[in-house]
Amino acid sequence: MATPSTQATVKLQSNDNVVIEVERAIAERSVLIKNMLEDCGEVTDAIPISNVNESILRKVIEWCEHHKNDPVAAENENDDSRKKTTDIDEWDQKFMNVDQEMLFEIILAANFLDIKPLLDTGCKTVANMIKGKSPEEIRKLFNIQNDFTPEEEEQIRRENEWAEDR
Amino acid sequence: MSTSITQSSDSESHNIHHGSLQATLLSLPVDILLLILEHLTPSNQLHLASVNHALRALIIPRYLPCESKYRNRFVRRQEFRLLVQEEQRQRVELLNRIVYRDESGEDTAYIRGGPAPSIKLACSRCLQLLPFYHFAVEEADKPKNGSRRSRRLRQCIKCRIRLSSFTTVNKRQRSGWTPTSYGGRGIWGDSTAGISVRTFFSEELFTACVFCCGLFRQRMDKPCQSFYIWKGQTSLPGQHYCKEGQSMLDAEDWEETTWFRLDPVLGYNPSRQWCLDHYSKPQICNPRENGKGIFCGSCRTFAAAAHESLAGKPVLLKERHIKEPRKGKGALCTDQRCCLGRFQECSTVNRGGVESPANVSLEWLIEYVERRLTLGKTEVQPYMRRDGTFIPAMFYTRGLDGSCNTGTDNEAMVYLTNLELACYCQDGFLFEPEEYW
Repeated sequence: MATPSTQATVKLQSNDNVVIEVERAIAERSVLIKNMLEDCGEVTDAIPISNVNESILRKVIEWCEHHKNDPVAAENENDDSRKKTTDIDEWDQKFMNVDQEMLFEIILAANFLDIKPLLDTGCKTVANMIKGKSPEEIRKLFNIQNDFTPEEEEQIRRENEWAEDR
Repeated sequence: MSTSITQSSDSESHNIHHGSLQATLLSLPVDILLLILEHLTPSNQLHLASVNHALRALIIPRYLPCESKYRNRFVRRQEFRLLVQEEQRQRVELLNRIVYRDESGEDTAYIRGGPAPSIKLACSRCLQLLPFYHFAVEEADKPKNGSRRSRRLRQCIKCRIRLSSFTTVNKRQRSGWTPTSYGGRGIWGDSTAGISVRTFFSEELFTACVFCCGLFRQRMDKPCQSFYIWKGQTSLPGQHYCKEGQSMLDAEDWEETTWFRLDPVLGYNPSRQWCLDHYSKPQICNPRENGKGIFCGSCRTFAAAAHESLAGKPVLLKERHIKEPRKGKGALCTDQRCCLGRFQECSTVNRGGVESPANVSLEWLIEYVERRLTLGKTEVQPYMRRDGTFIPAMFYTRGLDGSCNTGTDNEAMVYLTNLELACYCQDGFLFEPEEYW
């Protein structure tokens, strides 16, 4: 393994060939980039982020910059409290207030770059969008085709009736 | 932001622009979908599983039982479990604010801190967190004292009334009038006393009206209006004083073709056949005048002279009730405490019981308290022992000016229920005792 570099900035190249120079500490919020830098030592060339386009990469960097001082969660931190709550920080709520396509792109980018807190925030945002909605409302919200036959729908309605009886 | 953007010369590479394929919920990888699902409650997962085949195939085997009956039960219990967790959090917060007079933690001195909303308890039926005064006291204590099963089944008063089986004049099934089952389910076990509820508001019970299923307060200082004492020991549902029921009773438009029903309210009529057998006995059905009164065909007692106005009116005229309708046989006395109150047309039907407005009087009382809370004039909390159990018929109120009413709250409710509620029940709020609040 190479010795840790004291390099101040790194270059990230989006899949539409835009190179973005960013502080190393910010870039290292991504576990993928952090491991890469640790393995390769001094990197002068732009690091290709093949699955992320420029606009999404800029959004991700914006999030990393805002959260650069956040404590890094432990690797094995998978507590129930994280799963149970869907509370999202106010800044993060504004950050995630984008159209659905961009939201899902951010989630995919966070997954690819291995930024767990961002991935978690994205998933919570989607979960909050789903919460309290009926199946029909969810279909409308996410533009999902209803592929159930009327008979299947009736059966599902009957099955769920007791659970819905309030 | 310390970033700079430069255009790469190798523009033809990476030609698969990630955004060119529109990202949707269903296009997310399964592991991300599973992460999203972990943030959803079971009922939300159930809704999502009902969206399309793909989501159903993903969600149900992993998160929900495949058998629908187990799935529904699982969903409800998980939802209730989450509510109870929130409820416990509120209880702990309140306990931390209570200052007790003694070491035993029985007697609340005062509650620290600024006015806060009343603590809420979880109802397993409507799956909502409701303020504590929506629950009977014994129900509210269940998470502490009851078994795990009883905790699961805790229900608010409204659900309790809505879903319980008890003697009422309004119950009908598809096959026609059928005897209702007896007694409340667990609130008070007396098989003939209907449902009575001990609330946080006062020592007096609120009892379900046989007509409307609303909860009426039993007065301690005078005979109950909704119930009457029979043979000196048993409270039996009889007359009721909800407005609709009273007007129905007062209206003397009983016709010979009216569908009457034998109501098992006295506990004598476990089946229709039993009723018919007894009604067909000549000594009961045939009015026997003795110069002073008449035997009633319903309650089988001798009706006093005061009951004679309708005495002798034919009953049991419907063919389905007796094989050979015999007009003029049988009679109803007009004592509203017994007979007329037990004959009523069905209004609406619910599979779980009677579909009718519940909590009439209690509802008014709750409405009154909540109005005060909305106005921000007081904080209302239950008296809670240090072990988390509640003290019935008492609650803590405090004005925004910091004045406390500890120790006098029971008197307050006696005042409220005896004086003000009595007026409210009849004509709505005539006055508000501002000086008290």
